[in-house]
Amino acid sequence: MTKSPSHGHRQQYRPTNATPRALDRDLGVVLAAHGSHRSRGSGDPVYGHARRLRRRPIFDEVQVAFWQEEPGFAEVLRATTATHRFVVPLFASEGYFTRTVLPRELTAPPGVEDDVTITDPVGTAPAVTDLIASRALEVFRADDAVCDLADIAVAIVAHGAENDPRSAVAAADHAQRLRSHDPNAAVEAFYLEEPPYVSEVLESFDRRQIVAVPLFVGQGGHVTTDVPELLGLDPTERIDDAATATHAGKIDGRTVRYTEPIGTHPALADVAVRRVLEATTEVTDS
Amino acid sequence: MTDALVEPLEAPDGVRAAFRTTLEDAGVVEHRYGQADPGPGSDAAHDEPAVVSVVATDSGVRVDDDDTHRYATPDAVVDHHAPLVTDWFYWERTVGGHGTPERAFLRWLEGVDVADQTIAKRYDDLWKGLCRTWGQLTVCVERDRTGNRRYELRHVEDAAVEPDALRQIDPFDLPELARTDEDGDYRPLRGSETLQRGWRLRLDAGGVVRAVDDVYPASIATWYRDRTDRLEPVSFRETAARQTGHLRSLADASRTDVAAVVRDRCSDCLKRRVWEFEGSDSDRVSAESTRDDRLVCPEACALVRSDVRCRVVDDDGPDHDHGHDDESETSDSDRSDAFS
Repeated sequence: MTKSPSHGHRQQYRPTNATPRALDRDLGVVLAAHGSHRSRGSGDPVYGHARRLRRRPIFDEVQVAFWQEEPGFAEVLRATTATHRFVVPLFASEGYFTRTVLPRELTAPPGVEDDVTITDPVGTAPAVTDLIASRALEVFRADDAVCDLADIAVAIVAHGAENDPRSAVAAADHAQRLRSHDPNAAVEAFYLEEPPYVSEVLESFDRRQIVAVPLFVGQGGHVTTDVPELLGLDPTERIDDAATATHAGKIDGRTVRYTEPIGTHPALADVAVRRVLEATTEVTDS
Repeated sequence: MTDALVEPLEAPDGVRAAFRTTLEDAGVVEHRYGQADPGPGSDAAHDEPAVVSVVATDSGVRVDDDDTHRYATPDAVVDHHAPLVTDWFYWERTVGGHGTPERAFLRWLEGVDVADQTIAKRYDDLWKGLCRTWGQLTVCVERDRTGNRRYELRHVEDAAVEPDALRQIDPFDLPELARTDEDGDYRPLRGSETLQRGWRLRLDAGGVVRAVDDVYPASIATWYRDRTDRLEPVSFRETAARQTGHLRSLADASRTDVAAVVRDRCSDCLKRRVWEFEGSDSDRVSAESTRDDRLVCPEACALVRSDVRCRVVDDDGPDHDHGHDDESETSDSDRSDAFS
């Protein structure tokens, strides 16, 4: 079919300011994460959450930014045109990246007018405690006879950093919250780079069912290799059934299950939205 | 009364004046019916801007505002001015975003920046479809009868492929597609010439700028700063100086180290590197034939930083005792390869 220019046809316009224009963007959010230029698994969950948020009519602009892959933090910030811009750190805890790298990289160059709000990281949100509990329980099937946290032991596995005490706080807080929620729950935090170490998980619990939940955002080497190895599981024996743990094994007569990281939980996108809402409230209150 | 036609549209002065003059000259106010004009004493007409519909009919333009007024214009007037109005409508009501890189990009796509461009010429071109290249993307735009635009995105090598032979993908799947090459391997260097083929995307104005940025993140904003002379490249020295943690060692990198990484890593990248080892006053790297002039790289990326760090750390081994600032090791030819 060929088209030919013609202007003498019916066309009706109802100009009104209520119709949003394609490039007028009011509320923008940047999901800032570590990322990796070696493995895509680190950024995958971040893109997943960006996709979830883009499908919802909340933000006019949803972007991702990384420290170790393209696009970089500063690069993305320069590219956002929304009037109100929020950066949500998709990090599991406070620490070096949220306190040092992000503020530094997101500082506008001199002479550039800039207002961007960096929210608290998603990993420290109280709602994440629920996600950890849900991760821990969803790996069991109906015939496992596991109903609640009282039937199992939960190891919250986090990175930690010997030289930065803030790094361990998130996992410890989540563990404390779960314990106070259910006095029969056996929940402890373990770390890769500070004590108590991940290798001590088995000896720390006397329950037969142990679930390790990684409080990580990306699915990089720590999550896919280091942690399962330290738990005594074979990292290469991945279970590709979403209803179960990614890894599981019998060790010393006990069953150790290892779940998907918190970062891949779909509800983490909601936590990101909540972080922006909190920041908005802070901004208008002050 | 002509105000009722023109004012609510908030047309640019030129268009408004042209319309008003034409309508007055032609004596186009043919009929008026319904309610009487509220009159000079009443503010009713001004309190709430009337919603006015402009309807092009076979006999001219009909303007209705709540059935109060009715105008008609001769065919010649309509034919002459419709592109002005529909084009204005598209850019003001549909696109918006004045002063943003995205708007500049969309206008550049249509060749608005081309000298001796007229709306009539542009409208003819847009009817047939206009395409421009952006890295490994070809971005096409065409208009429909109402002046609304549709955009299409493809791999540049698929430009001539029949549309049906290409997979129509979901815009939400584009970031995923851009992160993996044809073999399913991770594609960390977005500027590398490994973008997958075999797909196409139909988009509106808001969608196309997002999609282009999904494939080449921040490329539109960087391009815009470059073409408006506001791009300030960050030298490697500056990048290194603000690093902390394990990247602090970048401060020890020599010009040789960085030049070597640029040779290895950046040779796979389509972007035009504008940052230098140090200083901002160095001549910009001349665009090579394989480079896309529009994709600009203003600062060493995460891959380059990591590669340089590896070189520095390797050199720090016990078998190496030379300093990293020792530029005497750099031959002039070495230097001209990467930092010319």
